[in-house]
Amino acid sequence: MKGPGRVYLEVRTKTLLSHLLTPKAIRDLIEIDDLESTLAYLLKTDYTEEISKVMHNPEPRILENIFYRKAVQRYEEYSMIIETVAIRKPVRDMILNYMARLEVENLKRIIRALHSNRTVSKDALIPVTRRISRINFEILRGARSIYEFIDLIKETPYSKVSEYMKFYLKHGIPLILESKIEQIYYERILNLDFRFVDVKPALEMIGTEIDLKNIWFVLQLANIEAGREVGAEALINYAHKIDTGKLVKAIRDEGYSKAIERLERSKYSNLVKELKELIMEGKADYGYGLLLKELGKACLENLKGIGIPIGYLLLVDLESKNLAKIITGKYLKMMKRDLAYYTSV
Amino acid sequence: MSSRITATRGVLLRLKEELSFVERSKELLELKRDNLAREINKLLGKIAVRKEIEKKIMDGYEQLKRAYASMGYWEVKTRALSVKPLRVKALTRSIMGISIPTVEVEEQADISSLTDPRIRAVAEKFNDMISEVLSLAVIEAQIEKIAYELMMTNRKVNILEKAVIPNYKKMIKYIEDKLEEESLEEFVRAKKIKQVITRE
Repeated sequence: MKGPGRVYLEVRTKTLLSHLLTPKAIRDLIEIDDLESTLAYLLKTDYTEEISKVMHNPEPRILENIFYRKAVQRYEEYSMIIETVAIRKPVRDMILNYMARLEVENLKRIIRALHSNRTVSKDALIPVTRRISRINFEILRGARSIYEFIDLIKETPYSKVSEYMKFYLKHGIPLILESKIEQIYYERILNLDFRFVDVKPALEMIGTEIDLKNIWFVLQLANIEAGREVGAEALINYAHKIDTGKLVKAIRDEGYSKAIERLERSKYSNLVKELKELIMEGKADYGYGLLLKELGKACLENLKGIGIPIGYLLLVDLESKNLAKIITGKYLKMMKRDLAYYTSV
Repeated sequence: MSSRITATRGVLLRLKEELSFVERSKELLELKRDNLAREINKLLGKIAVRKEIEKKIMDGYEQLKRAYASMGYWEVKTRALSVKPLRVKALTRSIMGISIPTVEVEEQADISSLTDPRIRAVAEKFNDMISEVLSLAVIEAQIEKIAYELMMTNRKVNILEKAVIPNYKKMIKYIEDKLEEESLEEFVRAKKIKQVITRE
């Protein structure tokens, strides 16, 4: 039975969910003809204050930062709620750890820059605050090499990444470190003790996300004909609807084509077939959109129980991503049809 | 003209020498002009690929636009940061004394870090065409430099042909006429003196 804390949290989260843009609103935004009208529409939403400040200079990089700032603000407010509500520790930890998805994004961006011995500008990072992340990005951003970065990251929950340095240096693909960061991130969420709580809807959402990431990893690495060991190592080790162990074995022993065949026989059969075709046709952007739609669908289907807080956090993230894409697309005068492909709705 | 030139045999000799030097210079400049024109014609043939490259660039930009809209600005930007950039060497080459720029690709950009097909395809496209774009840029810069030099050489040839050489010829003619006149006068004077001496 749910405790009063959980009931309160679910009710409170549902209220917060009503502040997010609905799928219909996202579709309406896609249908708007130009950037000015899109911004005018956003003026009527939670973004009023920030958008009104940049109406004279609506550049995608500035607007994207606004959307992510909003996401951070929402996560912050939510973390304050979580800390005050009486819920079981694993549930609380799960929710708080799930918020680390924004810091994961930042870590990946820093790794990419350091891969070519460059630094990432402050603007290029999501402005996560101390409330939702214990990582000091100012210091990490200042790292002059990937070695220095690895040294600094040893002080964080992502210290295990350093074990993969040799492998990364051997293959020179930053995706190796990026996927390890994600692996650690998901482990922090999934390796909690859920014996006394029903976290099924949340696991359904997170598991789907991991599955989709793994599908994308396999397809992208097959596309560039990366070494088998890279593929085997890059996958996030969690079996939801895809048996990752068997998938890794297939990559290692038989190569990517067999692994893709295996994926084509999985529960994501149609999605994988369609994705494969789109990548081959040079329409990987449409393909990635399909993954997002699948994730969005899984999220909405599991908005119940503990799935509500996790779903809320995921939807906040997806909203900022959707808006960033719509705004960039409008700025670049992209076709509405393309934008409809890129978003998660 | 008469006020400026001293009509002496010395001056005439010097002017004739100068004229032959100027005429030789003109011939050399004409040769240079012809060579430059030939060089430009050769290069013009090479920039015929411009349209094709422009089309490729436009296709590349279209794909880049799609990457931006599908990934967002900062995602593309930070992924692009992982690319080890192209290294080029800028050199100068001399064609008939004109230093013209050339660019040599020392190292292609390393796009192996880009695994996501959305941006990988764009990077591959731009990476493939960068050498073509660079060589086209070099050819255009060369044409510009050579065309400027051709214009200057043409002007020099024209000045020599229309002003300097005719001027020299006029001066030489004037001095020759003057000297002939003087020698005629001298001859008449000598004849008169001879007549006077014979009469006495």
